[in-house]
Amino acid sequence: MLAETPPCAKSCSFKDFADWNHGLRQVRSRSMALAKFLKETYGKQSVLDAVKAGGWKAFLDGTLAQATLVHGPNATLVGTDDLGNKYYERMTEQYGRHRWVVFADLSREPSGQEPSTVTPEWHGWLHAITDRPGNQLEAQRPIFHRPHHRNYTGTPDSYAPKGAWQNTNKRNWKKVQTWVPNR
Amino acid sequence: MVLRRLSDAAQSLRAARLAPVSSTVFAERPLHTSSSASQQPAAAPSNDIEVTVNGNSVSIPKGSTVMAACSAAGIDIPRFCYHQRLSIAGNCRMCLVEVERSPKPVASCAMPAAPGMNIKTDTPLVKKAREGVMEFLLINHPLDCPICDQGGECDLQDQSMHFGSDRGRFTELKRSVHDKNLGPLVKTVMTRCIHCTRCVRFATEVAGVQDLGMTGRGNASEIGTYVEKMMSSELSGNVIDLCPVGALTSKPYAFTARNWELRSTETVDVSDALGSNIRVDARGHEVMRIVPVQNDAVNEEWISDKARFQYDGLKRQRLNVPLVLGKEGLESAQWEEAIKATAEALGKVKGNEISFIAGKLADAETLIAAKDLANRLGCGNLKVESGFPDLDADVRSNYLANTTISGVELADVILLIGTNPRTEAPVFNARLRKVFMEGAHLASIGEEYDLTYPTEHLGEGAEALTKVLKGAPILKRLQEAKYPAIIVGPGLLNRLDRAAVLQQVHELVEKANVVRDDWNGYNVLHDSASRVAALDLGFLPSARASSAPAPKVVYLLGSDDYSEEDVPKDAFVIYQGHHGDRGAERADIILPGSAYTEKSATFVNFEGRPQRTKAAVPRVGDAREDWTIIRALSEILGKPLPYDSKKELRQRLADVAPHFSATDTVQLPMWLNGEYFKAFKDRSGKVAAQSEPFRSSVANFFQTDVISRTSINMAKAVQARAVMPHEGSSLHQP
Repeated sequence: MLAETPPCAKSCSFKDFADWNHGLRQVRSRSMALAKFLKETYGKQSVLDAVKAGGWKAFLDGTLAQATLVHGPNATLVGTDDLGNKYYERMTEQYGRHRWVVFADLSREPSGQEPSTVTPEWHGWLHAITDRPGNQLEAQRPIFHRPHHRNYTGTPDSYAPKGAWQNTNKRNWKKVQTWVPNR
Repeated sequence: MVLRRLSDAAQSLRAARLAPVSSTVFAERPLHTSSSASQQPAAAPSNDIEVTVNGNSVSIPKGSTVMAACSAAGIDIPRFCYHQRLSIAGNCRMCLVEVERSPKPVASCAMPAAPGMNIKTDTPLVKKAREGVMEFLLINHPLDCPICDQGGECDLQDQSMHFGSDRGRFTELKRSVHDKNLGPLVKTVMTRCIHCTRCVRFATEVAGVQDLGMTGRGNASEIGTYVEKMMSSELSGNVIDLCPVGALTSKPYAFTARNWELRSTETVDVSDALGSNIRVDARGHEVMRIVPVQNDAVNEEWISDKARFQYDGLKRQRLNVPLVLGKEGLESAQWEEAIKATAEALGKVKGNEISFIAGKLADAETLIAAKDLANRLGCGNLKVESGFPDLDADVRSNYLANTTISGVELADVILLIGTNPRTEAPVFNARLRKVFMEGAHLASIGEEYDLTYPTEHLGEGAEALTKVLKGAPILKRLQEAKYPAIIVGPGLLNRLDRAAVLQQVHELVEKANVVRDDWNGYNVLHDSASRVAALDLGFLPSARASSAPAPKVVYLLGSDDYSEEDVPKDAFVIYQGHHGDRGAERADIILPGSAYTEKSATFVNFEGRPQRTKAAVPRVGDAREDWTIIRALSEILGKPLPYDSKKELRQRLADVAPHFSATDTVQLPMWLNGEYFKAFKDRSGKVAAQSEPFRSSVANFFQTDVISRTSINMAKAVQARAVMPHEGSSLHQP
């Protein structure tokens, strides 16, 4: 009946025993949920692989730890955006912390969190402006729609106007083109 | 004819109004032309009526409009659709004024003034009317002035500052219109159009092409070509200036500059022999655009597309440093080395083994300096490229448009011989069209061209001329005409049998009595800017030139269209010019000169009017003004030319040909009663008249000289004519 002998069997009451069992069950279900969540988040078969793939970062990054280890288990995956960011919801959390995102690309230093990768469709949902998830938007995309990308400020991809020294296409400031002899 | 009377009245009014502000000095001519009319009071007193404008009494010619009365009183009436050189449309309603005892405000541009009329332009009613019209115009006009090329020089923008409201009452959506593709030169933003129909009237009336029109009614009306086609006119660029808003703008100029950044220089165009007056707008060292300047005696206020859009050629393939042929090909050199090498080459050979060939863009100063230097070297082999080097230049009336460009408007019968003025001088062709519209009869001999007005085609070659001489109906018409004119094209002067054909032409001139005491109807058209100056200055082969040996040294003064036999394979070639083209490819020494926008130089147009260009932008790199190169060369050769400054050089020009002392005027040449041409009989024996049809010398209008050939705009225009449907093309199916 009893699978294990409780360490304090000599002096413990039934209540203690029940608590112990309850706590154990909770730990078990939580760790299973965590394992499931980690595998799901990093798209791996085993927990070890998921940790190797970037799950270890949770030990360095509080925000990531909060999202993956504390909030993550038993949360509902509401949807994924074009960039692969995963959007979670758990209504038992405190209001304002009930929606969060786990970023797809966690490789970027220092923490890998790049908030500007949240697409405009999901932004409203994530910040509780609307309850309609980004993947259920009915509005048609306008003809001038371009795929979303992160904010490139401070990166080599950032915009440089024509004539700016950062711009790799050097502008020809010479107004007159001279003739070059063939001979 | 009603049309003629109306336009006469409008013309004299125009002249009376424009004369005080026009800086142009018109030709002193015995004839009564529109230009000479401008120097006299508008008309005889019997033809005048008295009207009152804002309490001031003014007298104006009978039949003129209320707007003319206002401008005579010195009051400027706001307008969009009215234009002096176009017919009256009266559809913009901006020119509303109050007339006493009139129930409503009247459109002053279309209302004829009546004697005793009391016109008021500063009443609350007029102000309200103008504000109302402006509000209606702005309903559908986009508020895109910050991105509009017309911004800063827009009639609507300016007038809305006076009459526009500071807020709109219109809450509905604005109308939008699809842009039309009119080809590579004219850009359209049709949403900005206010339907003044100036462009439509210009195309049909002045340019003579039925390309533009209005389709739809009311809110759905649109200006366009109906089916997509390019504007087939050589004058299409003028609709850009005519458009009072930013609906028609220049495609090459689009988004390149703002008009307040530009520095304007009024100068003269050299793309054809007409010498249109132009304004070169430059920013820094760069020519940004070219627009016409009004000169009623030459180009009225139009210029050809080539004159307007070839400016980008000035920025490509330029010669900026002297180049001398060395071991590794053409190597850049210092001026001293280059001039010394040139002097060495010229000094090594005998005088008559040197040949000078002038190009289409050579100015009079360079020509006289080159001629003086050549004569000092004992060389008489002077030539202007492409054609008739041996035309007799002894008598000026032999090679000029003696009727003058504005004088042609008087003509009532015109015979065109071997010419296509539409490609040789499109602005002059517009004037011929005007003459036709006013009732003149035009006939042509030569290959048949679409001149935008119908001509009686008499035949293709010399045999048609013979037929006319023998008494075709046109001969009688010319004889009976009050002001008959004959226009001979440059293509005819290029022919081998020129002497024989010209002799026939002169026989016709005599027989048809084309030259009379008060009228000289004999005109010669030219196709290049340097030609008349060269003939005036005697830049021609000397008498001994025909016996000269093949040249060993050839000096090209910007000549790129020289014929192969003039430049033998083993000749040493010196090229002085501003563009790297055929001449520079062949040259052993290249001396960089300056283009017409970079120097002050004199050009003579085909009516014999010397005009001066002004430097709008600095010269390119190490280039020099052309005459100074020749002056320096003469110093090194030890035969210095006797002028050190441009002033002295121009004195020399005036000594050789007195009309150079009075620029911007036409000095009418002597006719010599036709005696001179009797000598043609002796010469015409050499080559008999051939049956080959008379052809125009300009086949490709857009690319005639080195600048237009280098221009990308012109190349695009040529390409568009080949690809896009247009009037007269086989691609165009109505």
